[in-house]
Amino acid sequence: MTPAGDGAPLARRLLAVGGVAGRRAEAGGVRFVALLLSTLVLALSLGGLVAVHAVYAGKEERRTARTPVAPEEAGERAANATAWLVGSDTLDGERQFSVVYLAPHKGDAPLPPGLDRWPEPGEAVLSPALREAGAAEDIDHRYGRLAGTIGEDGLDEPSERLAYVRPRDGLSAEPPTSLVTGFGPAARGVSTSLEPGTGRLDDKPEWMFQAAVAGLLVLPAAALLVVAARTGAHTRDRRSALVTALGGRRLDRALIAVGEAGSPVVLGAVVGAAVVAAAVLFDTRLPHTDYILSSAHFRPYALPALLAPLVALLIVLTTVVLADLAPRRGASGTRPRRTSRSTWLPRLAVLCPLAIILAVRGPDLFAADAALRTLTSWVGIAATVLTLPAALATVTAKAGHLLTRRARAHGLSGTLVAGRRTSTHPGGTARLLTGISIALILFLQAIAWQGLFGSQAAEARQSLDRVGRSVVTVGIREATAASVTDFLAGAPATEAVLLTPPGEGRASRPILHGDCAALTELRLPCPAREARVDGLTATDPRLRELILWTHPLDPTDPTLLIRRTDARTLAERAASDGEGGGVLAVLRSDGKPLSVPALKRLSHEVFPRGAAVMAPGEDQFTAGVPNRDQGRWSALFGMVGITVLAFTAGLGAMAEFLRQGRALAPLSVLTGGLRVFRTSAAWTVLAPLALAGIAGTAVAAALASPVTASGESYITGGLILATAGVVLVVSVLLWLWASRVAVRQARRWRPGGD
Amino acid sequence: MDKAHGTENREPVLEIAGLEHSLGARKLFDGLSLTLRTGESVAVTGPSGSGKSTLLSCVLGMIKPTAGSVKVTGTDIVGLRSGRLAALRADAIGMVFQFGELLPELSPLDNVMLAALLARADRQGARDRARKLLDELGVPDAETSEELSGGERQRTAVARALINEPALLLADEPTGALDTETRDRTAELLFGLPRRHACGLLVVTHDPGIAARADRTLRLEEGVLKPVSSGASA
Repeated sequence: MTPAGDGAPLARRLLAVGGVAGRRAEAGGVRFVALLLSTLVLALSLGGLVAVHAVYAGKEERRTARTPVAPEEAGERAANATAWLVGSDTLDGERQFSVVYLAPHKGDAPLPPGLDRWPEPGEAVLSPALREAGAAEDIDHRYGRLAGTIGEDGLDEPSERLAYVRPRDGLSAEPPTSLVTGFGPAARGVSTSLEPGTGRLDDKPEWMFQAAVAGLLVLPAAALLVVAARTGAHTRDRRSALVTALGGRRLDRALIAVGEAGSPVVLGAVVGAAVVAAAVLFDTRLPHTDYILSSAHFRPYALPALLAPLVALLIVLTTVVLADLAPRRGASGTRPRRTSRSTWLPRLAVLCPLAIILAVRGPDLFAADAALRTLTSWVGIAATVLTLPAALATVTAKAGHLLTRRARAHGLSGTLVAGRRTSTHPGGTARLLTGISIALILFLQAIAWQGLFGSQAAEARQSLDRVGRSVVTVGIREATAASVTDFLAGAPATEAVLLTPPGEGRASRPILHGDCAALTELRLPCPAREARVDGLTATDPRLRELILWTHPLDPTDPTLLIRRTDARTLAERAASDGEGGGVLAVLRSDGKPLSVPALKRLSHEVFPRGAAVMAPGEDQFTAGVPNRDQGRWSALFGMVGITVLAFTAGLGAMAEFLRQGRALAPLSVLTGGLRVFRTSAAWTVLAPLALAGIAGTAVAAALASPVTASGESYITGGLILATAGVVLVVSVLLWLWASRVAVRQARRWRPGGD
Repeated sequence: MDKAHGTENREPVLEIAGLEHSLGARKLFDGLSLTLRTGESVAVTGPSGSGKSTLLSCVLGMIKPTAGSVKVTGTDIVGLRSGRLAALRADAIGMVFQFGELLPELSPLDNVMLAALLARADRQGARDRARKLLDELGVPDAETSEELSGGERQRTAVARALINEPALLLADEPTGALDTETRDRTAELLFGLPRRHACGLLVVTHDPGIAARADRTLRLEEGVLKPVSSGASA
């Protein structure tokens, strides 16, 4: 029966006493889960911080190792050299990736890391992630025959998209092509401008990522820890006071506290260590972002990563001990204190709706680009966050009164108990509501601001929405009239036009070249030689978007010259004018969308280095994609953080409910009904949490609306639903759990023998 | 009436002098003094809110008075550092609370042993002494102290208070939650302790029947302890 055998050291006995107390405590199950979760989340968050650093450091190392060495003139003198030209391409709706054109120039031409042999002319070597992501676009055959995949050491991370292409007809050593004599710092004199891969441009600085992990994961974990440490505090405070009265020292109390928290904390740390170890050993695909965490990058940091769960364990145990040892409010009497009612709280509460209105509607009072617009939004949001706790406390207390009145009128026992409790102690419920609501507001703000940086991208997306891919531009890099003719002939059922920028003298206006079929397709007149039209009133939306995104017209003189040009002349002009800003555009004669992947493949078949095929403005959209992807990380971390916070708030409410629930036990015996627990748990745990989830998301989305109005909005309906849904699911789970535990507690209750 | 014949020459285990303490605007103690010697029992009575429980908390060192000294076995506990205070509590003071205040998750034996462990008592002996005390007091075995009746819990609390053979035994309404029969048995047990275990007993109670069993009965009134004549206390 004794928790430890005789002769065991005192410390072990005290730990065992704590262990027994933990297992048999009233809110023991709740605290067990809370401590386990907080240790686990903290371990994973700290492991996440290590992982972020490992990935940044690992990527940097790989990038440095593959950076070409291209001595300005020494290239020609070197015995071994590779012709090297960095281009780019995109997959539909994805971020840009590097396509490196390379060919052996002389001697034992150096190969970049990740390639073990030279591909034959007309062959390409792709990264596994590019092959996987581009499968739908048949990327394997876009640049020629597939010669293999790039080895892991040639990629900055497993999810990198990269292609090495050896052009069919070789690669001239003339600029823009460079001569590369080696790779990496060992070869001396690296040229970062020739570096393959877009990561260095796309990646946000490491501190930003670390801040996201710290803010969205570590902070909620810390909040959960505080709640976990104080769950069931009533019993423990009593025990702590008793042990003190019996002559227990601080160390004794600390040991009992550690013993009590030991099992869940150790279990949480072990599970955390297992997850971290798995990520160190194997590549891990993260949900939502589709990112593959490279075990190769993580492995050199295995020690600090595996220390993370241990650090989490120590942090949790220290917090638990400190929470136990911390002096409660200065003892001067033996009576509990009465809660004081604040008079300023309701006054502050009135300001909350005004603050929300200011945040949501205030920015409309100013012009879209006025600094005051942003300032008004910020002031409104800050005021909302500051006044929200007071408003929620006031509303909660009022709701408690209402519930009580309703319960009395209809004889609802559970509702009466919950109502009275809420109106007497609104603090707990208000804290729950406030915590969740503010977390939701900050979360959606973070996502909203992410989108604000891509207003160009938003306009480009709108353009894509309007005309889709019914017209595409073909950016030719290197072509002859014959190859352009081949290209146009190879694209079935299409028409082509060439839009050239304003030149000198008479042609100081953009000119649209095309044959009669193409001009008619664009609902333009087909002149004998040349005609003038008002470009702004062009009736065909494809033409409007083409002009808008390539050579916008002067609104004061929106004249567009139409020049009838036969196919051969158009091809000649397109081949020669490629560098002069002329835009070759292709549209289908039946108005249907064009297949961009098919045109890209065709371009690589006829042009030495292919062509940039895209819808008008699509490059702007592509430029915004890294931002969108960063938004996915914020959404992932934010979701985890919100889930942890919902658990935190819910567990806090649940522990409080169970503590109060003990007092209900005799009542249930008298009345024989256990439904009272379900009802009162519904009002104490489910209702506030669900309300926080729904109303909090609504307010947060409203507050974010002025921010998203002017840019690309990453706050999608799906995200809003998912956010509210997560909180709702957590609230239902915790409600069911709370009812179950309370019923079990009541069934076990027996009147004391006194 | 003073029943503690011959205790005057014995060592004082508790000396309170010039104790002052206020709770808000209310002055609880106003120069309160008390001396309690080995083998002597003192009952303190008084209306609710007069500060009886606060007095015990001051003696335990859990509440720091505004002024005055509280010496337990010659050591002034006011201003004592927490480590030494804890050691003094463990070695010299035993406490019986109104509702027993056992740790509900622990067995009665664990509850009693815990007090010995905290006093760094001999580990081998603690368990035997705890069992012996519980047997003497008629407390049955149980997995948790929650399974015990009120009287059994209170007797477990007495066993816990005695395990370290304290010089000073404090009891706060020790029979407040018990039925008449259990109350009498517990009171008899308690008031027999000073002589059997050579300690001083300070009992706080509002029950005149219990107070009457003490060697001396004092009433906490207007911040000081005033002797109660036997007629009034009976």
